[in-house]
Amino acid sequence: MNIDLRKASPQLGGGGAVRVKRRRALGLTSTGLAVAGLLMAACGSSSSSTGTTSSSAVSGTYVVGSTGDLSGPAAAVGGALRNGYQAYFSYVNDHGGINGHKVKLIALDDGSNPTNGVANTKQLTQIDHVNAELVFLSTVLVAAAPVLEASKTPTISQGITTSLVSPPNPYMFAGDVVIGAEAAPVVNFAATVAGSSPVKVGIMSLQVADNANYVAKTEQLIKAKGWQMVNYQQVPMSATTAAPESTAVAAANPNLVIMALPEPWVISAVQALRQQGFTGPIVNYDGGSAYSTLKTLADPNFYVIRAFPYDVAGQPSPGPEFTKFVAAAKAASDDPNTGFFINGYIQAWVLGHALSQCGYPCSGQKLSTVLSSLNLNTGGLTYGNWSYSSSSHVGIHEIRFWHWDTSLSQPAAVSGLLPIGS
Amino acid sequence: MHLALQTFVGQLPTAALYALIGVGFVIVYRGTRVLNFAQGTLALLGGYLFYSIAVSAHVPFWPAVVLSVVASMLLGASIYSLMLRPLLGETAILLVMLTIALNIILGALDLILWGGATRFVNVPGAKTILHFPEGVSITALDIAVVISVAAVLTAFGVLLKWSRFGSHMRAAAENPLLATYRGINVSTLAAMTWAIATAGAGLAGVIYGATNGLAPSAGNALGFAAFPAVILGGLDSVGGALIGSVILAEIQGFAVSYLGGRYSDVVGYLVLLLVLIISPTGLFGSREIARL
Repeated sequence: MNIDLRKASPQLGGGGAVRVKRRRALGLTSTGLAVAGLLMAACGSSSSSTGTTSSSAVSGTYVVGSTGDLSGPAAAVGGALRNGYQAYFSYVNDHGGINGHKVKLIALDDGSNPTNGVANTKQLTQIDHVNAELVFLSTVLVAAAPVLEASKTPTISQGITTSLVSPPNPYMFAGDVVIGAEAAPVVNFAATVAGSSPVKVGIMSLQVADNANYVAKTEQLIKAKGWQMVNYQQVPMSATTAAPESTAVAAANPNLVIMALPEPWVISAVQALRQQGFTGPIVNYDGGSAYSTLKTLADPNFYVIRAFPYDVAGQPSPGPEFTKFVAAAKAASDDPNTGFFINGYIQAWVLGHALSQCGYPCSGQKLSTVLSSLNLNTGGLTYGNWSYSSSSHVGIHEIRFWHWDTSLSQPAAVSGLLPIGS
Repeated sequence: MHLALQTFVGQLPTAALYALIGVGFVIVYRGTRVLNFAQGTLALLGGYLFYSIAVSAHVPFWPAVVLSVVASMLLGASIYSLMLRPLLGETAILLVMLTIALNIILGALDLILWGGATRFVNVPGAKTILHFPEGVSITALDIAVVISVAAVLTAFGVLLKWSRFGSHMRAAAENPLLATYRGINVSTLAAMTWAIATAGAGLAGVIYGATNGLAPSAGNALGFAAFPAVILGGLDSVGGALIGSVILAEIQGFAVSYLGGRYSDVVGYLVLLLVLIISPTGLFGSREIARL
């Protein structure tokens, strides 16, 4: 039964023409959807650091495009990456640009949807003629890679996949460690905190393709060490909490837990493990190494692998570029310790230095050649040089492990510099 | 035995969360015949309001909880008055579209106002662990969550079943014309219905923020997690939403414990499908629910 309340009820202002009311109703709904669309656009459409025209050839600017999740399930990471890119390019533009040319960032939202990511990439490469692209998710990158390759657009990606860097695709470059490569340092570090044998390992991982590679390698290494894997749980991205998975892991009585869980799942996972009496070490991958994670858990027996330093109060700065990074973050009203903000900043920093070496104008092919032989002292942004070669498009080669120091109430390094393979 | 008991106890806070959001679906549906697809995002917004009040404005924990629930309540009434009321009497699909638009708008506002980073609130009792026989353990915060939600849902139940407001709401939902002739202000009643449902969602957001942290993606996750529980229990049954929430949360928990995390959604939705095949209106839903 469909009751026209206003027609029926004088109290509700009824009696008006139904057609007029319908039109108004449709208008209101359309307006609502339009406002929704505008807000989505406000969150996810292009943003410019210079406000100049879109063509690099005409305007005399370098144009950098990015596609990432600014409104979907991974918006927390995508937004932080975009803010990091923006902070670096704003800093550069405020200091004279690159080779005297300003940089325009066009940041598009793909909502974690590869179809949107491909459409964004076509717009960026074919209409905006970007010099280079920054891509967040591996699923988007894999889908957009043919477009990027065909247009000879060098790309630095947070979510690089093994298949694109081994062997190296000429236009694809890693913007962070490859998740699969974290397995060896994680297991080796875990061996130093696991205590007496027999080591019984529980594994918890977010159910995404990249993490499967990490888990598979971890399992191999565990087996090679003669350890026993007692439980393995995958946490679906749709899960509101990882507590049930922790219950299953804790019930298997491990004395070591290895994780590949980012926020927010890592919080409920660790808290549930501790609640159920698991007191052993937990070692997480770098995707779950945000400052806020360590601070919220404040758990000294929870360790994370990390390719970048934290901005820790009372400590000497790791280097001059790190000091600039903190200043750029504060100038952009961003917290330098926001998870993945530094990742975005560094990826833009690496690209900026490559553009500087490439000169102006800079073709995609030339930029790709420059990137393939890039070797940069990052001035404390990373633990060692950032270097690509023709045989390896992974720039980070050293990491260290951190935990929460309860006496200092801040993160503290618990390992020296350790190598990470490609 | 330990695993089964721990799974059961451990899933009660999740069931409480589903129930609080799910009952909001039911109250809005019963009161205004609108299926509100923005319920999860409204819950998240309540959590973010709590974050701003407690962390940014440094208001102590309990007053912050009360303030954020009151703010959610006002938001719900405003949404109804500004967006829904002008569309009264329109087709169900139009109203559903409007709540979908509302969901997108609120989700985008969350991102604009609070950014993408996960937001955490330090909560008293979050790390106080209580131990029970058979090795079962639960945090003091989780116990507080379950007790609070049980109290709130009991109050909702009493309000809807025994109070004058509840009888007016039922009358307005079943026959708005007749209710109006009997002197019931249907519009004010509907605004109050939205206010109550959004207050419940806001409290769910507070609980979620306190136990998991607030991320922009959580809005849809919460809505999509609670919705099957409501369908399971029956779209117009408060008791059904509560029982559906417990059943769904426990099925998901046991699926994880005994089959693995990757099966939690599959098993949960499989049970939902089976129930709907046998009883299309859910376990406790009335047979008047329209097919959308």
